[in-house]
Amino acid sequence: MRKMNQTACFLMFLWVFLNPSAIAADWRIITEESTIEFSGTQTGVPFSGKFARFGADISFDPADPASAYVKAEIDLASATTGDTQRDTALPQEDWFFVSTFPKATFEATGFQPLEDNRYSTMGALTLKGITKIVPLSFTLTFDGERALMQSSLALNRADFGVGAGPWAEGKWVGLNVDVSLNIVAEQKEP
Amino acid sequence: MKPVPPDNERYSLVAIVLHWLIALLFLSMIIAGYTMASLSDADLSFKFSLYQWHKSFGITIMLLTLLRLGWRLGHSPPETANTRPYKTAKLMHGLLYGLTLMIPLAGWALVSASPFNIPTALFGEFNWPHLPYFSTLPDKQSAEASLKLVHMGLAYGTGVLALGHMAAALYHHFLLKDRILVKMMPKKRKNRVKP
Repeated sequence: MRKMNQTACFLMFLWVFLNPSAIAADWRIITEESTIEFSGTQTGVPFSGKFARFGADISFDPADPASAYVKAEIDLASATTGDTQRDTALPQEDWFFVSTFPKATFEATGFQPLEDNRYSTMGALTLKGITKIVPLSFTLTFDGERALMQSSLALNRADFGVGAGPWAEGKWVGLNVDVSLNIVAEQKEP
Repeated sequence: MKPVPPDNERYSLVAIVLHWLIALLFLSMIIAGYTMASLSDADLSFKFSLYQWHKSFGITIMLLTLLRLGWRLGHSPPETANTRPYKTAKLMHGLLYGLTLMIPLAGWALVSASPFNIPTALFGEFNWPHLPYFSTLPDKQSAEASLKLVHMGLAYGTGVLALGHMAAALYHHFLLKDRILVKMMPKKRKNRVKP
């Protein structure tokens, strides 16, 4: 009986780690080829910036998008916009407050396939300690073992308390922030 | 009777350059400061950048004034008579030095106390910190309002003093016809070949 159990465990192990569909489910982001950018306006003048450090656990099987799972983390201290003044203000308490909230996270389960290569999902975006459910639609293009995910997302920074005190109104810095995602991922090797 | 001091002296070239540079910057800052404070919010971008330039040049004036005071410690100005008007003039000059330092300091305190907490990037490049005490005041709004009055009062007050300073210089030059103003002018090159 004990021997049987051991054999079963071993077979389970083999199934989990060698089953092709299980392998196909996990993806690794190629950070050097991926970008997460954001854009907004300051005194009516557009600016854009990017995050240099981010990562994600991605489980996705094209044959079963409903079981997909994504948890992404973005290092907020890695944001730069090419302007000394803005980049000095951004990590501070009024804006990202990185000393207390170092990371933004996005967590979603299940992708809904739409027409063409498009998908949509509802994810929990947490920024500065505030979590909101946001809809995210994106395209996925596959190239061999690689996939390119592209998406853009319109956010209202006031929803997350980004821009506190006198910045809470959109007079100086616009409330709308567009985030654009270009994520290249490859299937994890067994 | 004491010997009359030689009257062909001038300020050193460094002192002359610093004097006129700070004078020019001070005048521009008065104009920029008045303009930016009275601008409507119609052109926020221009207003915002005017504030940023004002901060950059204000810190520049503060640093130049420190340099100037340091230079003066090692380089005495031309001697003047020890009579009452000259003593008063010395006092006024001391006051102008002090104010030229106080105005940017008050401005720096005002920026540090602002609830907007806008970082100062000198000429858009170099990070200049806030003053510690002022950046952590509990009631920033009223502190900012008071410091704004102090900064403005000192600036306009200095403007009035500077007008008196100019009037005195012109009085010496055109009415007393002495060399007081010439001492603050760069020396003309000798033996200049005429074209």
